[in-house]
Formats: sequence, C-alpha cells, structure tokens
Amino acid sequence: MKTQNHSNTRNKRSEFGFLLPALLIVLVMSVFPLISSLVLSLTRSSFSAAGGLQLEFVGFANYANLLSDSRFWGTLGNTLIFVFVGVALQYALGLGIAMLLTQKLAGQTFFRVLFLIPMMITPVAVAYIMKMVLNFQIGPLTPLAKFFGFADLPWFADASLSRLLVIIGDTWQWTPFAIIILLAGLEALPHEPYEAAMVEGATPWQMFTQITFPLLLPVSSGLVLIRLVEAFKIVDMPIVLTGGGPGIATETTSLFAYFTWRTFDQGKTAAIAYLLVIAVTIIATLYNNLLRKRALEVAG
Amino acid sequence: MKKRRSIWQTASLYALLWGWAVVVFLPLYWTIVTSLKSRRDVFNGPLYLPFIQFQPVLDAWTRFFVTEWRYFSAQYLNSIVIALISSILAVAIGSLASYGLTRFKYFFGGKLRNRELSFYFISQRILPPVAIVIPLFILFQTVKLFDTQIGLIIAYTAFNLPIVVWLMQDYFAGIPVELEESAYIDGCSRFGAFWRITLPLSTPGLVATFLFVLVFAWNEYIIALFLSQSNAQTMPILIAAQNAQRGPEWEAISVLTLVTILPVCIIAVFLERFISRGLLVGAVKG
Repeated sequence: MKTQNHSNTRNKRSEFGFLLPALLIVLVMSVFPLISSLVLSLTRSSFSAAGGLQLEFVGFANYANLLSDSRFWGTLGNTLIFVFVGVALQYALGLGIAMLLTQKLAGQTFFRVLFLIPMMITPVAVAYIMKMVLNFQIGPLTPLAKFFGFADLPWFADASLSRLLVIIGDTWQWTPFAIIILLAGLEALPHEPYEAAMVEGATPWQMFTQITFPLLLPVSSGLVLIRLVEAFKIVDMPIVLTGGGPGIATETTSLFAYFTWRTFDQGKTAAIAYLLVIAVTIIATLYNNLLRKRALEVAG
Repeated sequence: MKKRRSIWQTASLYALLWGWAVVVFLPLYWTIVTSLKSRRDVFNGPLYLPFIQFQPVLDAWTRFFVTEWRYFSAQYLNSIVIALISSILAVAIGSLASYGLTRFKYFFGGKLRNRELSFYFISQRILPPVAIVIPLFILFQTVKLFDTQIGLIIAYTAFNLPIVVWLMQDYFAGIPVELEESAYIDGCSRFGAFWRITLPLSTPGLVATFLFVLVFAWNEYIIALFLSQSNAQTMPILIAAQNAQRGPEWEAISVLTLVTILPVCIIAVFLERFISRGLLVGAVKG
C-alpha cells in the first residue's frame, strides 16, 4: 500500500482506532472479570454482621476442597457425557441429513428452513417443549408409548433416563447447526473426484468413505471444535428439564457453579468456574492438536 | 454426474427426509396445539386436532396479551430492546475490529500481532459465562448497572463481539483491497474507505451476522440469570421461572414459548438464504 510519509502516523493512529473499542470492551468485560474471578477463587466470602461482604484470603483451599469433592467430579463427568455423546450424535445426524438435502428432492427450501428452527429457539423453551412431547401420559407420543409398553418410563427418577432426556433436548436443538455447516461444506466440494470415481465404477459407500468424508474433514473438524467448546457451557437445558436431578445425575459443572453461587459462596463458585475453564481449555487443545491437525493433514 | 435413482431409492430418501421433518415439527406442532387448549383438555390425554378432538380456546393467549399483559409486557420489551441494541452494537464494534484485523498490521510489543489478536478475540467464546459473570455481578452492583437494560446490553455486546469478529473476518477478506486503495488515492481516510466502500459491499454478511447474534442475544439465559433480578428480566428468564411459579400450566408455558419463538422463526427464513450462499463455511474451515 503506497502512503505518503507525513500521513503515516495519522494512518497508524486511525488503523488502531478500528481495534480500540473492541479491545476496551473485551478488557473490561472479560479480562478484568477473569482476573477478579481468579482472585475471588482464592478467598472465602462471608457476610459480616453489618451485612457487607467480607473476603478472607484462603490460598488454594477452594480448589483443594473441590478436587476432593465427589460432587465436583460428578458434575464434570456429567458435562463430559453431555458434550461427547451430544456432539457425536449431532454430528452423525447432521451429516446424514445434510447429505439427504444435497440429493435432488422436492421441497428443499422448505426442509432447509424447517430444519433450522430448533437451533433458533431459546434452550429453556426447548426444555419445556421436550417435557411436553416426552410426557407419555398426555403428550403426543402417548398411544405409541402405551402400545410398546414404555408409557411409565421414569424420566425424572432414573439417572440414565434423565441424562438421556438432556441429551435428546440438546441434540434436537443443535443438530440443525451441524446440518447447515455440513450442508454448506458438501455443496462446496469439487465435482471432479466424483466423476473420476464414477468412471472407475465406485459404489456410493466407497465414494462416501474415499471422497466425501476426507474432503469434508476440515469443515467437520471445525464444526466439532465449535460445538465441543459451546457444549461445555451447557446449563439452561438441565436447569429447566431436570433441575440437575435426580441427585446430581444431570447437574453440569456450570449448574453446580450456579447452585453454589446461590449459597453466597463466591469464592467456591469462582473456583468451580476456573476449574471448568481449565477443563475446556485442556480438552479443546487436545482435540485441536491431536485430532484436528491430523484431520487437516489428511484432507491436504 | 449422478446415476439415476431407482424408485425405491427415491422413496427411502423421502422417507428419511420426512422422518426428520416429523422429529422437528411434532414438538412445535404440539406446542401450538397445547396453547389452544383449555386447562382441562391439556390433561385430557393426547388430543391432536383442534375442532375435531377438542374445542380450541384462546384463554392462554388472552391471558398473555390482555389480562396479564401488564406483567408480561415488561419482559417482552426488555428482550426486544436488549437483543436489538446489543446486536447492533456488537456488529458495529465487532466489524470495525474485524476489518482492522484483516486489513492492517498491528504490533504490540512485537509479540501481539494480528494472528494473536484475532485468536484472542475468538477464544473469548471458550469461556463459560459462569467464569466471568460473578465479578460482573459485583461490578454492576457497584456502578448501578445490575438489573438494568443497559447492563445487559453491555454484557451481551461483549458476549457477541467474538462471533462478529470471527464471522466478518472471512467476509472482509473476500472483498478486494484494490477498491479501498483507489479510495485512498481519491483522498479517503481509512475510516472513509471502510464506511463508503467496504461496508456497502459487505451488507449481506453484516445482515447475516446481525441476525445470528440477534438470535443469540434473544435466547441468552445464564448471563441474564446472574445480572438481572426483576426490572431487566428477559423472556428466557420468564419462561424458565414458570417451573417454580406455576407448576405444569402447559397451555400458558406454550404461549410464552411461542411468542418467544415466533420472531426467531421469521429470522430463520432469512438466515437460511444467507447460509445457503456459503456464509459460515469459510469461517469454520479456518
């Protein structure tokens, strides 16, 4: 870019101006809270007789307590179950449906819009919708459930079933995201490899495993990374659907943090949140370095 | 390039497609039907068809829009104001930063360059809201922003900023630099070129990004849960609270859900157009 010397400083300054508002907002709304959270997590908070909040420095006591607390590990385990099972299901369903949508079938636009809708709905509403639909006493599936004899499924009393309920809700909501990303990825694939494969008489399954899947890997791995990171935050679905129960069977780490916050233990809440950040960062980094880089290499 | 399908193959493809359509539509249909039922019919077992199986009533709807509108309108208005303003701000501030990161070279102390800066912005999405919301709760109480629309607008702007930076980078990168360079020669400032040349060319990307963050802000729950109490409550908070307040009044919950879903369903129609034009996919690959 050719610019005259005397206007260079002015340009540099205005170039920085583009970045400044966003930098300031992130500093105030994210860097400052993150540092304060760290400080808070090293304290124990209590209310003085006068009603004010008092902070007492306790070092890593909150962390030590949490790491020996089975409830913390339980909620982290739940979060991981929801993340991995949910994202895997969403990816598999999303890929299948996206491939259906690339076939020349009637009503494409209608289906594309309809399939998008669940991800546009606020998760707390999805939770209620699921509660209604999966209610086998008054819901729409009642006749089916009575016929096959599963009308009395204890959705909310059984640990595995209530986990399944959260996974169903999350999958219903987020499969659309996988569909739209993979659909766009599929439509951007080159035609030539398929034509060559046709000439060689490849079966559709061979074309899928040898061409479509490898060529789609960059998009797939990016999609999974995004969903992985987002799924770790899961809290609104279980809060409404199961309230974290039975026991802590569906309590995610974020939900645990919220419940702790309601007991006014700010230090412990901050420590839970920090441990969650560490867990997400480790998993995302491992995924990115071990799996995603390899996937990108395979795809060339 | 494709072999012709047999009738059976075509039929099974349609069956699968319609199968998923039922999975998506049945819950939505059930919510609509339930909103038209009387309390008694809600618990009368699975009644699918209004007029045929049950007499539809507008009780739940009149309750929302007439009888208890005074109570509901505040939350509805909060949701609209907060989502709209925060999304406009996020798109404005975010696309400025995004443009800067695609066009100019930044150095901070030699180490912080564009790559690090844009990774830094995007990595904000990794943070679970609970990790930052407690200090914000304390900060907002000190500066009197707790439980205010402005407070949530600021929070949502910040929370949506990374998405805008990320989505728009790909879009700006696709616009030829030459256009801006010729604007510089004509005496345009950096901002002038951005405002007069690049922005108008990026309208589809801006609109799509705006719709995206609008939906995120509209649906956000956990931040609002921490940062609002009564005055600034949004629709998701109201919906979630039905659990405790009302017990299973499904017809009322259905109405709340539908009035919250309807605006975003309309957005979905527009968004689909942008998505099918390939927005998003470049960003995901990178």
